[in-house]
Amino acid sequence: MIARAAPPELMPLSERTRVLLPGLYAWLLTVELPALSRGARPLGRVTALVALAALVSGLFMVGGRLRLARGLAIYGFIFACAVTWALLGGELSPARLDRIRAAAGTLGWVLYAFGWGRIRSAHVPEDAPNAVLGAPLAARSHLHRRTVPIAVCAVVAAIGFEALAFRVDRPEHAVLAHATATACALLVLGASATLALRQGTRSDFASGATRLNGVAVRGALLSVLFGIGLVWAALR
Amino acid sequence: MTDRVLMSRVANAVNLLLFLAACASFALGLYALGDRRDLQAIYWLVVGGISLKAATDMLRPRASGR
Repeated sequence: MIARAAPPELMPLSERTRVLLPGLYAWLLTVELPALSRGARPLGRVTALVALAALVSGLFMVGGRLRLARGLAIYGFIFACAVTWALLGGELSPARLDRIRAAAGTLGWVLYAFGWGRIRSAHVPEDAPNAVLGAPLAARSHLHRRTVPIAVCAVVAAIGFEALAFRVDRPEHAVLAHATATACALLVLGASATLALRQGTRSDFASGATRLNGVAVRGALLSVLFGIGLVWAALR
Repeated sequence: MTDRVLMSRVANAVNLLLFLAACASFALGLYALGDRRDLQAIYWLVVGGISLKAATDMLRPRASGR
């Protein structure tokens, strides 16, 4: 017997609005306004409009087909934006960019990305028909005292990297600096999550001596690099 | 305090130091890039990458065969 397919999931109006408004904001500042500048190619304006159409149609016109909606409003929208940027070429050079507008547009893209997340519904979990009632389950363990400081340190470092990238004033290097800063921030945040959650969980670890031996080669490499750095600094 | 516990604490401290060194190295690399010192920027970014890799390698769980 073939089970009946589940009804398509509907995208609530609040969720659509949460994605649409930041998406429109980011599109307007970073895609449409550069595409409307004097030197822009007409094809770039067309692809900018295609991006807008993909966003709006994805969110409003596909009804309950959530997968198709996301395909259009995420992949279609971003792909059309990327094609527009590629067609704009020199219009997007750092020397011609308005920094405030670019920063505001970046914020719009961040909000657009977060807008696709889902907020937990407000209903009480125990009211669900499948909920198993009983005494609340106690947590098996608590976070170690070093967990929060490590996470805070990583977040501060990540923000600092992004801020330092804005010091680079050479146009070609600025793009590289922002890409490098983003990569460094992601690496540090990822490593910090692992490091913070492993605090106080000794049972999964190898012994301290094994862990130290495991990084002996990289430690030696770092020592050599520091030695080279010291010689370099002394010779300058 | 037994030797095993002591070594574990030393390993934890080295782990945290490597992580902090990685953060500082990345920051110095980006700072040097802003000052147009490209070679120093590459140096610090490489140091940061190796430090972070070493810090995460120390967190690998114990091999199941042991």
